[in-house]
Amino acid sequence: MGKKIMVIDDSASLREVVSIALKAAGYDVTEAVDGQDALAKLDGNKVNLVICDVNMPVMDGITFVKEIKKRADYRFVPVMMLTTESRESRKEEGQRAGAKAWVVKPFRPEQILHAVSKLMPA
Amino acid sequence: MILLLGQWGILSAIFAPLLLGGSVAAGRYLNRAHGAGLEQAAREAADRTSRLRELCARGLPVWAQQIQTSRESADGAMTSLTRNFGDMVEHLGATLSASKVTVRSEEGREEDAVMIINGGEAQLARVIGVLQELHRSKESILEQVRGYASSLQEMAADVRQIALQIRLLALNGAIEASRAGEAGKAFAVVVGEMRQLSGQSAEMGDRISKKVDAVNHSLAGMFGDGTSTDAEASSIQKAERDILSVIARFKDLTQGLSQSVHGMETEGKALRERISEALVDFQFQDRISQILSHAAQGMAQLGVLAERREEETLSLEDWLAGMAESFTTHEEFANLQGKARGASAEHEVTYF
Repeated sequence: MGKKIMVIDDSASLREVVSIALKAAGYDVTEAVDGQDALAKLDGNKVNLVICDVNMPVMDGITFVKEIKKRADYRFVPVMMLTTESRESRKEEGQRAGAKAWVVKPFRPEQILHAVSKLMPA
Repeated sequence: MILLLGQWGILSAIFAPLLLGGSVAAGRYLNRAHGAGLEQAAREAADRTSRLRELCARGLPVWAQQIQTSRESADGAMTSLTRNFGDMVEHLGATLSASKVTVRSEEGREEDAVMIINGGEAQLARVIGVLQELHRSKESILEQVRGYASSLQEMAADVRQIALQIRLLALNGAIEASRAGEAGKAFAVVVGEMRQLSGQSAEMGDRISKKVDAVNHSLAGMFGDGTSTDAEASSIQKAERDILSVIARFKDLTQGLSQSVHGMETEGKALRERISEALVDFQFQDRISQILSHAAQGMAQLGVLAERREEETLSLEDWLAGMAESFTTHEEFANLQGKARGASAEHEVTYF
């Protein structure tokens, strides 16, 4: 059983692309469509890493990171932001919220896998 | 598409000043016109402003919805396309794994067909070697036995020869004993015994000779006359050639198959990489979707402004700044500033 990664993005095609890359590398992937859906799915379930979009309906990525950092069980789970957002101000906001990496879309699968292995050493 | 979107952004930015400009123009016109056409001009300006406001209030929400519908349709199609390509990648991966047929050896090693045939060839070579060794040692023993039999025959002939000489000696002794008369009587008895011994020795030589003949006969029955061992050696050599020939044919076949599989594997890998690259390219949909969404949102807001007659108090700079708040991509910011697409931050990774 591989390590568990949650992918949060309102774009189904993006979730699919990220999942394909992660599953091919042996990770176990769960998906959520926004921050709120992710918090509901996380509840009580173990996850080793979260890959999260920033701009999403219902609950955006930055709010999600702030929320997850309030929960004792998930406080230390690393979060990687995966977004089209390129403004420095948003990036700094993500860093202050507690994200560990900021990846600008479009990405190459090997980039994501490299970042995953860096944030979640074997 | 991006350029079109840029035009939407610019269009939405143009409507606001037009609305404002209409009102301002009307005011100026009133100030200038002190004559009889003042009221007429004011009515015309008010009509133009009203028509433009109505156009924005009714037309912009429709365009916004059209964009939204197109965006959703493209999203659905792209998701389905991505899933199908993802399935292809998965199937190709499974096919590539299936093409590698291996068997676990007794030692626990994973072996493919070529390795198994090579191993079988080595094992058969060892078996043939053992058979050849057995054949050689059998020939050697037979040769030795034949040598002993020949020696025994010679010894039997020697015994018969000695018996004959003793017999001649006894004959001479008998002659001498009869010449000696009474004094030779006792000697004649000895000579008689010698003759008897000679007869027994000759008989023994015959028996040995017959036994050796019997042994030779038995050996000949068991191993033939020598031509059968040659035939046996020839059979072993032929069997070896046949086995090696069959193995060589199997080896050629397996190597051919192995090369085909390798070729398919290489092609499959290349295809898989191409599909994976195509999946990466599909990410453009996410950017397009966001840009369209922001454009639709801006148009809808502009429609509401026109409907509420808020354009008269609207600051163009505030409106543009508000629009930029929703932007995320480099393309959107570049379009807002009227620039060509700026350097993209694609593939950028920042660690905190």
